[in-house]
Amino acid sequence: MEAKLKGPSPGLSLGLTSVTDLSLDQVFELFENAQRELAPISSNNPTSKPVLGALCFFENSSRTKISFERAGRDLGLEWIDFQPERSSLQKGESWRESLQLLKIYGAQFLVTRHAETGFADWARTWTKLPVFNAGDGAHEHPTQALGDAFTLWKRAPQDKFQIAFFGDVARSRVARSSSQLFQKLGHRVQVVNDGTLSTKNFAEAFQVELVDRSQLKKIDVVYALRTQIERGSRSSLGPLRFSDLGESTLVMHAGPVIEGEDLEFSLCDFSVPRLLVHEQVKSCLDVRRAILHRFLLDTQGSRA
Amino acid sequence: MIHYSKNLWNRDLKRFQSGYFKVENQRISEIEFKSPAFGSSTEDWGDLYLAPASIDLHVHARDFEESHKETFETVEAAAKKGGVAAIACLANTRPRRDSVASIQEFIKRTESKKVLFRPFAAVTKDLAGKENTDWQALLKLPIAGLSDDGKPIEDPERMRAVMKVLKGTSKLLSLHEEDLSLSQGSCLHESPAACRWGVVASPPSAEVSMVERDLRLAKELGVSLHFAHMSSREGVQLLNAARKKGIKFSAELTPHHALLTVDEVLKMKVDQLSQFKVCPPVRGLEDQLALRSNFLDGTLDCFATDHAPHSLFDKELPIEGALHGFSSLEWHWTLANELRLQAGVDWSVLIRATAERPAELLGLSNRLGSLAKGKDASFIVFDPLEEVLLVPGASKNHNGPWAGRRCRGKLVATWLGGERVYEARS
Repeated sequence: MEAKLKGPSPGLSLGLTSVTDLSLDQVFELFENAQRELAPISSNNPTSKPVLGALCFFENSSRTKISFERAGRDLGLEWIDFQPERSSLQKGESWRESLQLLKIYGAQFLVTRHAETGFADWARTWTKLPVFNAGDGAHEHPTQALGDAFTLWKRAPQDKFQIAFFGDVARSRVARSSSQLFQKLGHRVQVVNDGTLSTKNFAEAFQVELVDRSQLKKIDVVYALRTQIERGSRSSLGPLRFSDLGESTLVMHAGPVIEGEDLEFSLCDFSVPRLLVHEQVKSCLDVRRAILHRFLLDTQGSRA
Repeated sequence: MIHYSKNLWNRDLKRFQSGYFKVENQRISEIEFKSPAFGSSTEDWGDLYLAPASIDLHVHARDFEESHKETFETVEAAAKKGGVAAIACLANTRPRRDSVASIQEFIKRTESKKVLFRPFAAVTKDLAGKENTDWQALLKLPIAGLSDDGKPIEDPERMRAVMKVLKGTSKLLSLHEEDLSLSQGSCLHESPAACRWGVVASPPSAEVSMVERDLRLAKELGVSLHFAHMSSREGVQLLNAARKKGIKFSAELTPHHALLTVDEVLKMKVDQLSQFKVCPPVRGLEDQLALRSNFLDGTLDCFATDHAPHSLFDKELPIEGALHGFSSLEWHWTLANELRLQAGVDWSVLIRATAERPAELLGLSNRLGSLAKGKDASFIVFDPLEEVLLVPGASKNHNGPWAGRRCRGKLVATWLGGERVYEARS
């Protein structure tokens, strides 16, 4: 595969911290590549060492971390697994210092997850390394958004869906990233009105429509959000119910699903085709592999 | 020495007029609104404006264990550059100004400075809201008053107690009005703009509920309070209503609450947000407009910067981990003038809020706050319309939104006690 760098865009050579950094061309190229079998990128120099990334998850994660790790291994990457809960952070070391040390140990890029907005951008500033944002507080989760959009694109690349977010949007980074990317791709994004000021503020901030729960039957996709217990949230809507949905309504959820809390139990059998939860997991893996592949191509020149 | 200008502030007629004043032994010995007999010792300022130097009631001067943020030398330089003759300094230094010895140490370190430093003493030890400081002993010292600024006084019973002690004294009780149960961990004003970034936001009610409580207590006890850094429309409406009922108080308007709105964060990149983090937060347009109109009618009667310098290590962080506060003292006068132009403030209102009223509140009216016979020759020389770029330099740190902006009003020189202490590079 050849690098098709256009114009002054840095591609993914700086990593990816926000969905707003991506052009439509870049998004579609990632989708095309995510459908393919991507082989490890062979360097021209057979003695060169594999690229070394560091997984820096300051907040709990299972699927995002495993997914990045697996996608990287498929491409011949090696990882440092930095475990903050067992690190010198517990002795009072600053995040800045911890990340700078990873660079000294040879990390060539970082994947970060942290509870604070803007952490990935600051990690890039502190270390001058490319950074992939695997979640920064309630702000962004760009690779999840790409996986979500890819899930719909695979079903019908030309279709524009009507998508409603259901849950506590204001505390959700998934809602922030995915709603922006869906809109960029021409989908119609809505938010279920739970009567709170924060949901109203979200709708205004991202210029999406508020809809009543009773309207969900007419909507193509309902995107249920995880109840963000660690951020003090409990959706006033309660779980999404089977009776909320129309006959062909698709249901998305970024996982992990809190059964009975996010989705009522009858919506938790994910072998049912209209529940896209497992499909999203697969899509996120494929998209992350395509992202890392693009990153390796974009940075290959500088690593020669 | 004689200073003459075509635009000398006449406090009696409340306008600028051609006039001069004579300086002897650091004080004004004569002031007349006519042309002087020009001699070799006459400074002719021509069309430039001459007005009393400002007094800033809200400065975090740092020093001590935070001399990496600001020192008494750099904060004094910032005051001179801002046209400020006296600063009231809050008690949240490290270590805190919460004992007689710590206040005496502050006074000893600052008493020989050209700019007057007046410390606030803490209401509670370590500003922790648990144990009272020795109020009676502290009030015998030359302090501005008592304040736990940076933190509210949460316990209403403690508030009543400190009000009773202050009743009948001329000292200020400067209040940071914030209900922490509504604002804990907040970074920005609750608004769509804050929601854009997914950070915890502070609602106006965090301020309103505390203002309401303290106005009630003040009315019951018949004491006068000082409300620091007012930020919300509803909060200032409460003050306005109280003023009309005859309740006595003073209150501050800061340049950031008067000139900025939270919508600025929509134009920012995520790593610029921490430079916009301040407590109470910069709120919405309706709040800004209410603050301005209550400044025009004198409800907010003091212009104060809430100068809060922080080091890069405190600000070059994600917004949620960054500290609150802006560095702004060195632009005190320029920001006040920009507010005058934007909000249509009369000169008399502006000079009352920057100089006269804070001088009264600090008990310094015999020396500062106006240009009159017998007072200190402490004044500023300025061009009210020339646009300037805000270039940091005096303060040790320039955290916050101001550096690099353009404002109208060039401070040409600051004179304190008949001596030129600051002169702008032309």
